[in-house]
Formats: sequence, C-alpha cells, structure tokens
Amino acid sequence: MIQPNTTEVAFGLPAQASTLAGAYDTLFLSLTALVTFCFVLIMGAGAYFVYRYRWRGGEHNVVEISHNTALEVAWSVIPLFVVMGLFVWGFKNYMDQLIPPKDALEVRVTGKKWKWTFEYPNGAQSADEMAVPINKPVKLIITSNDVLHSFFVPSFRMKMDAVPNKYTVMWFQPVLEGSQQVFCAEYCGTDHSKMYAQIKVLQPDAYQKWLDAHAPVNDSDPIAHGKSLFEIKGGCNACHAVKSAAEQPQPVIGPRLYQVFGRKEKIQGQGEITVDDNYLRESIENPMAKIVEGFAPAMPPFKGRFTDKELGHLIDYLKSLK
Amino acid sequence: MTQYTPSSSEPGQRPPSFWNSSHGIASWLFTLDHKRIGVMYLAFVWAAFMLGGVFALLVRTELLTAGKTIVDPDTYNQLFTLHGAVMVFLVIIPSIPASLGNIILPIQLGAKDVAFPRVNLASFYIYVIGALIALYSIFSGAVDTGWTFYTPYSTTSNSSVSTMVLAAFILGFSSIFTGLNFIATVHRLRAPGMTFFRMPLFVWALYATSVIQILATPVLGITLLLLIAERVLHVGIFDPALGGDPVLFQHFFWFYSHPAVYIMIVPGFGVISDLISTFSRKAIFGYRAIALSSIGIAIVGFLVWGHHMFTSGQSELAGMIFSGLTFLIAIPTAIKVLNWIATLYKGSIVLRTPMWYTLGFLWLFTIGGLTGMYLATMSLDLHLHDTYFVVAHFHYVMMGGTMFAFIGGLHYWWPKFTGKMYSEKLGNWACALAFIGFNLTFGSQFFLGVAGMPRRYYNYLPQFEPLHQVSTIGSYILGLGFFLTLVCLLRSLKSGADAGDNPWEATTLEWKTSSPPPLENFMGQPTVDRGPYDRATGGGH
Repeated sequence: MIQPNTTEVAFGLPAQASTLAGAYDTLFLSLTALVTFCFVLIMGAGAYFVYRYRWRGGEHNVVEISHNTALEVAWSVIPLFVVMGLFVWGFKNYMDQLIPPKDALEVRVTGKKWKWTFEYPNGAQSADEMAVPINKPVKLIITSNDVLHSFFVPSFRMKMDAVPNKYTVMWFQPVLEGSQQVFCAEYCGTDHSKMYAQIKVLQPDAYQKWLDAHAPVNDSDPIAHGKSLFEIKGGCNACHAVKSAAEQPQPVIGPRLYQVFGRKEKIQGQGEITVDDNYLRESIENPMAKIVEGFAPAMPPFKGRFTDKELGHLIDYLKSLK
Repeated sequence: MTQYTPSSSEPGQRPPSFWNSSHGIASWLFTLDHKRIGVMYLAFVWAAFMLGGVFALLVRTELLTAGKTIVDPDTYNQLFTLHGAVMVFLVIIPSIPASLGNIILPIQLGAKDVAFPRVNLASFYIYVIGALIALYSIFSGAVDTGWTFYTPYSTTSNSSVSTMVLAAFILGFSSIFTGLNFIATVHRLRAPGMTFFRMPLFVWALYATSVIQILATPVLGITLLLLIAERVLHVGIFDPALGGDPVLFQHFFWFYSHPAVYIMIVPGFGVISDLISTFSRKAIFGYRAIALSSIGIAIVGFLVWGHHMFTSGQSELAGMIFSGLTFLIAIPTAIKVLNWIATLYKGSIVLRTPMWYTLGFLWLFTIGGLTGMYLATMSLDLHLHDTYFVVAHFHYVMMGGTMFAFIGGLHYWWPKFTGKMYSEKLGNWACALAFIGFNLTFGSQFFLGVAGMPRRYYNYLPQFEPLHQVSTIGSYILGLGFFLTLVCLLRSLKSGADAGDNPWEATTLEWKTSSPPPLENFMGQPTVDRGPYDRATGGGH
C-alpha cells in the first residue's frame, strides 16, 4: 500500500486535475451561493422575528394570520423552478461525467480486499498505482473480486462502485501532471481505510517508460511469474507479509509467508500440520478449510481464479521465501 | 380552544393520575394504558440513546488522530456499525412516535386510549425482544457491516450479521404495530367535533408516519429474511458467488430505508409545528399546507430510493428519474420551514427551553435540508457520495432534526405527563451545549467531505486531521449537552415544582386535562368546536 505524502491541510475542493473538474466546481459553487442566500434569508427572517416579537412580559399581543395564499403559492412555485433548473444542470454534467469518448484508452481496474490492480491493453500490469498519459481520455472498466468497493478520485470529482461479476465504467481526461490520490469509498472491511492507490499523470515518453517497466511477467520463470501473480493478480500482499518480521512488520492480517514451506502450523480445531504443496493449494482455493491459530477466517476463496499452472508457480514462489 | 368541562370541578375530587391509578411492578408490565407504555418506551429509548452515544464517542475518539488512537480497525468497524444500528433501529425510529406519540396522541384526539391497547403493549415487548437480540449480537461476535448491511460483504462477513438482522426484522414489527394503532386511533377515536382539519399537526405528522411505517417496513422485513436465507441456506439472491446480484439488495434496502428517513423526521415536523405555535402564542401559519405536505412527503418519499445509488452503475435514465423526484420532495419540505418562520411573524415569542430546541431545530434542519440539494444533484453526488459530506448531511437531518425535535417535545410535554416542571436554567444550558457541540461535530464534516474524506475510515490521511479534531471535540460538548438534558429532566422528578395543567398556555386538548392525566385521560367526554391552535376568546377556560 502506498502512503501518500501530502501534508497540507485539506479544507475545500481539491485541485482540478481533470477536464471536467472545472464544470463540477462551477455547479458546486453556484449551488453554494444559492444555498447560502436561502439560508441567510430564512435564518435572518427567523432571527429578526424572534428578536422583534419576543415576549417582554405582560399581555401577549399577537396578530393572527392563518395563511396567505399568494405568498404560499409564490414560495412553492419559485423554488420548484429553481430546483428543476438545478436538476437539468446536474443531469447534463452527470452525462458528461459518465459517458466516455470513443477514443479513450481502456484500462481494466479490479478492486479486491484491500488493493487496486490495473491491466493495460498491451498486457502491462500494476498494483496500487496506475499511470496515464496527460491530456488523453482514459476509460476505466471496473470490477471487483470479492465485495463492493468504490474507485474514488477527489481531484477528478469522480467515483464509481466496483461490483463483483459486473463491469462499471468511469472516465477522465487528466490535465495536471503528477500523482492523484485514489480512495476506496465503499466500506469493505478491516483495511478499507488503507485501500489507497495513486494515478500517475505522465508526459507521453515517461508514460511509455512506465508501461515498459510494468510489462507482464511471462511464465518461463516460475518464481518470477509466481511473484507477479502473488502481488498483482492475487493481491495477496495486502494481507500477507513475505519477509521476516524485522524487515516487514506489516501486514499481519494473514499468516506471514516468510519461510512458510515446511513450517509447522497449529490449525484451529485440527491440531498441528506441516505446510506442504497440498496445504498451500488448499489454502489458496478454499482458505476456510484450515485456519491457522490466532487468525480470523477472513480470506476469500480463490478457487477458479488461477489456472493449474499458475497455482504451481504461486507455490513455487512461496517456497522461495526463505 | 375546545369545550371540555370536567364532570367534577372540585380539585379535591380529581381522580388519581395514571402514575397512581394502580401500583406494583405488574401494574406496569401488564399495563394497557397508552401513557404507561409510552413512558416505558421513553426509558428504553433513552437507554439505547446513551448506548449509541457511547459508541459514537468511541468512534470520534478513535478518529482524534490519523492512525490508531484507542482501538484496532476491526473494533472500530464494529463500533460504527453498532452506533448506526442502535441509533436508527432502537432510538430514532421509535423515539417520537412510540414514546411521545403514545403518551400524547390519544389525549390530543380526546380519546381514552389507542384503538388497540393490547397491540400497543405487544409492540413494546417486541421492541424489547428486538433490543435484547441486538444487544446479544454485540457479545456473540459484533457485526461489522455498517448499519446498511450491504451485500456481498454482509453475506460473507464472519461477524454475527444474522443475529443483528434478525433483531432489525423483529423491531420492524414493533414499528408496524404502532403505526397500525395510530391509524386506527385517528380514524375511529377522535372526540366529537374533532374533524381531520381540527387535529393538531403532531397528530397529522404521526398519521403520515404511520402510513409509511405499515407500507414500507414489510419490505425491510422481506429483504432481511432474504439476507438470512442467503447466509444460512446459501440461496443465491444477492451474493454474486451464488448467482445473485448485490445491487438488488441496495434497491430493496433503500426501498425501505429511504421512506424510513421520513419515518424518522416527519414526527419531528409534527412536534415543531405544535411547539412553534404554542411558544409564539398564536395559531400556526398555513395549517393545511403543513398537514398536507406531510402526506405529500410520505407519498413521494417512496419513489426516490435510487438517489442512494448514483455511483452503483444503475442506468442513467433511472438515475435521472430518481434525481428529479428527489428535487420535488424539497418543495413540501421548504413549505414547512417557511410556514414555521412565518408563524413567528407578529407572534409573542416566549423563549423557554422547548422553544430554544425548536429554534435549534430550524437552524440544523435547514442546513440538513439545503445540503441535501447537493446530493440530489446527480453530478455533484459523484464526488460527495460516501464521503463525510453525506455523514454530516444525514446527522443534521436525523440528529439535528429528529433528536432536537424529540428533546424539545420532551421538555414541552414533560410537565404534562409527569406533573413536574424542570429547571429552565439547566434546560437552557443543556440546549446551548448540544447546539454548539452539534455544529462543531458535524459542520466540520461538510468540509472534510468536500475535500474528499471518505466515510467509514479507521485511518485517514494527515491533511484531514485538523478538521477531525474539531469534530471530535465538538462531539464531547454534544455528549455533555445531552447528558445534562437527562440530569435536568430526572432531577425535576424529585425537586421540580408542580407544573399546573397548562403551563405553556397551549391550546390543544392534552392541556385541558390535569397534569399528570388520569387513567382514561379525561373526566367525561371532551368535545371540539374549533381548530387546534385557535386562541379566539369565547371557548374553553
């Protein structure tokens, strides 16, 4: 998980980092002006009446006014036109924000507990960060591997839910070079609040370099392939540490996989076992079958997510962690 | 004013109040008296309110610093879930209808009791059973899904989701029973001369609420049963791994839970309408508009649930319809606020504690309502959805609205059903603290949300820390305010002065009987010959 390095105090709307953020802010600030006007008017009238007509002791002098049809029609009809105007403006902007241009670069985004992974048309893969070329439209095709997540980029003024077994779409055209913060906005469990990612907005040549650096790892080297599957396709390192406790104190949501192969583990309600190939495969595909003492049964099953070959390479990688 | 002549005018011959009409624990546990049932509801609602408040303060304390402050992330997730579930299902939904409504509605109608006293008692016990099951779920592996129980998280979570969902299911019946009773009571038990348009606005509001309760709550019941069926029997309904659709759950859930927002706030509208008229010492402005706008809100409120789902991938057409209808609801709501403000005009405004709560309500609810416009605007919702902006918005409506109305109403009717007057000084202090604390707690959260702070976060980025600290300090002031309120009210039971039958010079029927009222509310049958807020000379005392 990447820890962002911003330190300034957040207060108002974030920087406008996409083509549509400006239109968003215009609508936002116009509504704020309208709302402030209404609030001051209503509260001002209320405060004045309370002060002016407060009871000062003695007789209660009141003027009974049961209703005033003209006034009541006015304050029903005028707001009606105002809100309908807002509705139309909001809907128009919404369609602009939702419908991507046809020539957009398509990137597949997958949310999983608690990690975002990205896959590019040329096969490049990454986790926790994605790169995009500046001033080019980008279309994200979003899904989830487990529960609901939501891909939220405040500086683009956009978010879209990640729904398992379904694709949702979000698009943006970045105009600001640099790193944009991504949050998960739909509650998803223990590390929901650490499910960050960064969108690196780069010049074309830097973007190309980034793509090359994230080219897919082919399966000719089982351990390197297994490592890539572990970190990106599985996102396993969101919960499992792979180095010694001294070198990598976090995460500890799942058992530490450093020197896991051949280790003796106490299984809840089943006694001690020795970690071998079959145990590892079972724990990936059906993790609820054997839970190590001291851990919650929190891991989603990965059955069907990996091919036999991939499972073999994952296990080869785990064996290499010594 | 209404015609009501006690059959005996000599004070010495007054019948015993409902507190003294019978004695012993059993006379309370098996009581069919709507006032006693209301008082028992009140005690339980306050107990639950304190429990939910402690959860809230723990959540706010954890958020004092960006990293870990007092608890680990899983405990934090349980705390905010329990806070939400307890406050929604055990506090806000029953608060005004089941406690104040139960005590006051039949008296305002000139009735001896509600239409079905046994169903009323059953409603209370169902509430207690539901509350106990909810408490049990805390100890059997506290639920961590958020009060919204979104699938597939809730169908795969290992916490005791089924128990908490069962509790919510059972509590739904309590709500249905109360709603059923109020509808029947309003239709059948009005005093002679009490036409629909002579009913106090508190009754109108409870009537509109009851209609929503009996129509919407069964949908929640069915949804929660389906959730349990999926968790226990693995029938694929919402979980995609079993062939279900998680977005379907959101549709079902909000089909109840959006109308439920009106179940929570519309009774508050009723309280405020009665209070603002009484403490302005004049009739309410636009009585019919306020009465009918409650019904309007109740109807349109059923058709706006999709505005919770603008980022769920639902179709743009559906989103457009939901957004348009949501804006329409702003109109009857605005009408109410403007009518209340207009009522102050040329009144004689008596600034006692219930009126301070009423004015606090107007401030907080207006902010809550106006910020709803941002969320109804589809485009703006894309950024604000699931951020602290939403958290701030619904607390301004649910807590600033409903709870301020509830506590204002409680101070207003307290002398009626206890016969004791609370300390005005302490009441004012408590109200001021709650108001200031509230605005610090939730005002700061609007700014957090606009800056992009997502909700339900255990950790947060360092740039959000200053506003989080303002919010946490505000929450302590708010908590102190509510604690003082309780002290103020309970202390009056021991040391409060006798309130008299009508300390506020109010016009509705409950102020015509003694404080506290006798078992069947009135001696003899009251009759009604004018509007509820009519102060014209001639009738009554």
